[in-house]
Amino acid sequence: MIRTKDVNKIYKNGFHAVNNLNLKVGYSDIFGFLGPNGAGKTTTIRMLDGLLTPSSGEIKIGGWDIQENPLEIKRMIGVVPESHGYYSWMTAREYLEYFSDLFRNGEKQDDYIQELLENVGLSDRQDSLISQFSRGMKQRLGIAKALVNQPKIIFLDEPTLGLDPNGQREIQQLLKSINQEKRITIFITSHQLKDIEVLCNKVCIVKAGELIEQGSIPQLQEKYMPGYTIEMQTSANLNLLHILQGIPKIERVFLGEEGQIVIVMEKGREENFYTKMKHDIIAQCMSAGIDIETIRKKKLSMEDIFFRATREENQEK
Amino acid sequence: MRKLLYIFSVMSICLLSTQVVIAADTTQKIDQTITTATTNQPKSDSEIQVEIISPKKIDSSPVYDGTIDIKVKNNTHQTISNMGCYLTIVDVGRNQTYPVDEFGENAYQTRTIEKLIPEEAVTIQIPVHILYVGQFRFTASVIAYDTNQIYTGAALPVTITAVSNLQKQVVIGTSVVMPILLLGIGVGIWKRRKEN
Amino acid sequence: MINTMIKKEFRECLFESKGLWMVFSTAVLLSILSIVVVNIKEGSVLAQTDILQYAMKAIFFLTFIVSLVLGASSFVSEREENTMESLLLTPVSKEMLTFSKYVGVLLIGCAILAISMPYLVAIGLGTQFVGTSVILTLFIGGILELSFVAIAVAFSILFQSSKASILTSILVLILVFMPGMMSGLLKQSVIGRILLRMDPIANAFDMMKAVLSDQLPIHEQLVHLPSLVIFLIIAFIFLCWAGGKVSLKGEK
Repeated sequence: MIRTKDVNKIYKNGFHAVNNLNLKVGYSDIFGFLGPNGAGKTTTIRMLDGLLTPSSGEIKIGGWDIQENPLEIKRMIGVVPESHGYYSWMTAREYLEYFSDLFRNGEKQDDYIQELLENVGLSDRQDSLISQFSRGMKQRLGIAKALVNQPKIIFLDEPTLGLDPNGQREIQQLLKSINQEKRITIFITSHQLKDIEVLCNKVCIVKAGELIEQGSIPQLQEKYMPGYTIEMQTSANLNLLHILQGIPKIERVFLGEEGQIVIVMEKGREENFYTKMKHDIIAQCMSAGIDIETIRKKKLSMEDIFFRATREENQEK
Repeated sequence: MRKLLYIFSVMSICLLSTQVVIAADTTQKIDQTITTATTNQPKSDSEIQVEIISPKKIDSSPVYDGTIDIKVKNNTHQTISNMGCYLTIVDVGRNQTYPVDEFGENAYQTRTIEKLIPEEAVTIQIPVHILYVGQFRFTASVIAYDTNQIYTGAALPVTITAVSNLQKQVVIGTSVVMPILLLGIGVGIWKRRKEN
Repeated sequence: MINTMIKKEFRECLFESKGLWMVFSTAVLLSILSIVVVNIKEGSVLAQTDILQYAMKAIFFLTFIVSLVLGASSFVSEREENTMESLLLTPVSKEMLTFSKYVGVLLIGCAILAISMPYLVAIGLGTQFVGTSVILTLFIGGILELSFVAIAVAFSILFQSSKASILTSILVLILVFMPGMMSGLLKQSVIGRILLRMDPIANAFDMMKAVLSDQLPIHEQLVHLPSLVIFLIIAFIFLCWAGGKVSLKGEK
């Protein structure tokens, strides 16, 4: 759905904001574009939505080249920018009707606008002035506006920035339902790693304008996990630690930060192997009379992935 | 004896001549004194006579366009050079003067008189364009730059009566109604938006 | 689409940019001026046609000031309120955007000219110049309004802050008005006379004076039109050039 090839952006003052970016976003993906401040996230999103011209490289959205077909691309995308202003003197309905008219060349779509307002939870406030809306309500209105032209892709730049946890959750749920019901590809930039973890199925990490990692979250978790890791909480963690240290196929076993048993095995083996190992460990516990409280496979959080990816990139440099 | 008579005659003739000269000089001084006295009372019979010869008076309504003819005469026995003729305007009713350029594009400029030989007169023409309403006096003056003397003639009475049909009540009525009307419209629009 | 955009710009000028209050304030100012002129002693010094001319000049000045302020903040306020990005992401072209903002501001200026007409008629009643003064005001005011709004909108595209845009627009207004207000002084020099021939406001004032005070026929005053038309053409060219430069803040 979105493909970039060797995209660069160098501003007139010489600042190299984006460096040889090669992105690939599939149909119906929720794609997270991560990076610290100044990584080039907003520049990238502006190049993808056509507001900025890349210095070099190729960008294709839905098969259309962004330089050659800007109008077609504008019609098939929706954008919720980071610093999104609203016409505070308009009502929510008037605001959506206005942008609907701009996209549809005056063709009315009152029913669709009503549906949008209901989807974003603003149908009871549709005749209120936007100046009276809270930040969360404005953000939902922004998403509704991004959907007014029935796009195939929506770009969101820091959609949950400044929202309280309830607001963040509302936005997350809204985006998920949009993706699932309407099969819209969603491209989110954020440095809220929790959002990305909850929403996205694929991510890309950039730093100082360069892409350092790209892939699905399970792939990245697999990549950055040192080994196949199991965490256990038992009635006698120390005893179990001594017992498990003797098992040859276990690479490492230690106590974690919260006192839990952490068992690391070689990664890349078949699932049967890991299942058998788990059974062996459970058997060892039972024979030692140790009660198992919890046992689960450890997954890396996005935070872990992000820090490991950026640390490795620093080390390589 | 003869010599004494001769000397006595010559002395007598000399004395008599001196007396005649002194008498003539005294007469001239008296004449000059009279002339100077006349000039200090700013009227005619001065060295330079300034007189508005046309029109005799102006009694009109706006806009008045006309030319003021000013006769300037050198009443002395000497040529007077380097003079300027100009207009001044006094508003009788308002007790003020006016800048002359408000009475015509060319009215405010001084007219130069290069020289006037004794008894010579010239006519200066100054066009005026009168817009204002009121009672005025236009005076013509001549300044002799060499002596810094100013000579002014009698004033020209000017009465410009307004033919204004400005309807005060209509203007005041409009001035009151329009803002109220617009305020009503504005409040109506604001209320409708608030209800919505 | 263009109707929607013009309607939105007009409503934005009216409500968001306080255009409604500016229109009302203009009416209040004209009312005050009218009442003062008919009541003070000095007002009776002037002939009615003169008062009519002063009224026309006041109407021009107020109309242009309001239009300049609204025009000069048209694009800049979009950038300052962060709504420009949303607009640029629509299929609307920059030219159409510029045109809609231009017309939106123009409509406010036309509204002010319209509400000024009753004052002009009230002051002119009793003379034979009511119709002439209305036609002159609408004609001359219309041409100058088209020009000044174009200049103001162009500045709002080029400047990054509303303060700079508004101040520059007002400066242009003052510079263009000044020769007309100082004609007595400028007439005395060759350069001044050339300036007066070129200045659209000076020519507009001369046209008004010739028709109303000197009671010359209107068709003989067409000689004053070229400077007005040239000013309009220059303003439009400036606006068209600036229209191509519509962009987000910071984008070079």
